Amino acid sequence: MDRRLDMLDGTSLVPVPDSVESVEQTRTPGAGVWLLQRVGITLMVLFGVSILVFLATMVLPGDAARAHLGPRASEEQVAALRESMGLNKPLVSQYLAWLSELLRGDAGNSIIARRPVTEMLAAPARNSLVLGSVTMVLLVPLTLGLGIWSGLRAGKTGDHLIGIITTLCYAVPMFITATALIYVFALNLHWLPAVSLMPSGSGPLDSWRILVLPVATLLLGSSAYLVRIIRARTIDTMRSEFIESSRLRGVPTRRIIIHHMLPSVMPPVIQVMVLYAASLVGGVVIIEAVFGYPGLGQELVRAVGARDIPVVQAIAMLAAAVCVFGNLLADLLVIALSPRLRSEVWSQ
Amino acid sequence: MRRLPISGRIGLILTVALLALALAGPWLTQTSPTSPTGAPYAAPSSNHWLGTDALGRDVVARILHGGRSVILLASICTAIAIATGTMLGVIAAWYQRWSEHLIMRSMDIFLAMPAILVISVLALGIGRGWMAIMLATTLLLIPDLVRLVRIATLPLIREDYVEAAIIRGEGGWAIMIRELLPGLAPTLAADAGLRLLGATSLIASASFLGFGLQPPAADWAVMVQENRSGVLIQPWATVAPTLLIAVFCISACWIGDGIARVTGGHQETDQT
Repeated sequence: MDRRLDMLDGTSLVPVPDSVESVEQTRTPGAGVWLLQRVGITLMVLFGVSILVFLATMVLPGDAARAHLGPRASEEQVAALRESMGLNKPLVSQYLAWLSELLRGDAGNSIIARRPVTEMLAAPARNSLVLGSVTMVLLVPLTLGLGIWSGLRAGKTGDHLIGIITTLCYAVPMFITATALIYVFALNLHWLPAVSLMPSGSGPLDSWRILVLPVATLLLGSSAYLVRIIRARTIDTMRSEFIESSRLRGVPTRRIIIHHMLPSVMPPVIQVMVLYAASLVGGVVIIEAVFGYPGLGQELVRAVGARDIPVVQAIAMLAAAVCVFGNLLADLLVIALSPRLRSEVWSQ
Repeated sequence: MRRLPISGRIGLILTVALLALALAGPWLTQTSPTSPTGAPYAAPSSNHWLGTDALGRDVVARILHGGRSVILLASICTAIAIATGTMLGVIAAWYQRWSEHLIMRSMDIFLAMPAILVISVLALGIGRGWMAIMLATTLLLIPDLVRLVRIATLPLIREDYVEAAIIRGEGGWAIMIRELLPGLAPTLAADAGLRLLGATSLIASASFLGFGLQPPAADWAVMVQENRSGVLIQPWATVAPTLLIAVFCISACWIGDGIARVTGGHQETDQT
């Protein structure tokens, strides 16, 4: 779900029109300037996110020093720790100190585990990356196949069936889908494990069976929107004149699909896919919590429960960075892949 | 309504029925939703129609009490977000220039973080509970609505009746409220079902993760979390809330698709 949730209507995501608009607005400057502008906006957004994350976690009620020492610590102890943690300094200097450390790759110490956050999150981050990458690798061929197939059969039974199934999977929150899958495939059929137990020191790829259900849930939850876009695009392309003329010339369907359909369908699809890779972060958090998969999502849920502020800040900033740079990459790809926009931007 | 496709009508009926259940639920039962009234994971009986949960609490009572924090809260968030998003979107489209930039860029910051992370950060900041979830969900729904409304308003501004109002010398606010808002109604109606779906999905997921209502409060998503480890012993404690959340989400989706098809908006969703 997530970035997400509201993708079904197409208007909400508006990736393509939005980029086109921003390209048109900046038509006069050259490609280099345009690129710099995009990177600048990306960094500004990330800067804004850092302010929001800092404010939300530090200003609102709740005392980091008290959380660190626990409820039985005396007032003097808390006051002393506040002083040494720099919590008595003005907010702006606290923020700047936090940001400069973060930029140097130091996310502080976990209040609960009492060790560096970066060290603590390294293994979970790797596990989450594996979960996300495996999903992405399978998502691309799956959605392309289903989308084009149902687009070519628009209005027939197979198309209706895919439409109904993807709508259902889209509508139902992922934790519900996951619960249903666990009930059927893990608890009743005993085919797959219900919980992602990993022997310490091993990665998720060493025991691939634990990946099956989490990846399947993520695929079910996130393929609906992509399949719809690809289907719509396929229908549009099939109606276009160059396909029509190829057909009239008797070019075989398989050849039309490979040589004409795919190049025309791909650019917007790749852009949406990259956006999706970023949005997958949110889905991964939920899925990890359901399956007890030892990744960043589980660390996040644990850290929020324990009020471990540095850990939450680090995960939030990391996730935001992945999303923001994903967006930038998507913008660049759509320019690079669509000749019309490319010539508009590059030729100036 | 009459032109609404069959799935849209079913969706509308189910949504209204579930909302009524969530609203009136607590008054329909005398059984306490939070104190044990039987053995843990007891099978359905005449006392406990759907059995009991992990702590021996009546599942029916918890279902009746647990709808408000999921679907009622989602509906409220959706309504607030639509009102705020419409206002900001119209303002951005009407005044353009700096207010537009300010509004659109600050929306970008919100869209930069995955929704569930916005909720986590707020749950950490103001404490876990319905306030954090409601605030986060509303804030998260607004950016897309602002974009949608802004794009829908831009062509309206060039309509003759709006130009006439400008020539009549009416003020910006009067034009926005009297001339522009009515023109936006179809767009917003077509969009509302999917926003409701988004809000429900987000709120339920966040509650499931433990960011929302805290035990022992009754909440459908929390019930799934509490009872899913005993699903083989007493399926109903998990299946009932799971089904209710799923049915509500699917009906919201059907309403959205149905209205979108009637108003002719959103070609992509044109699918059976």
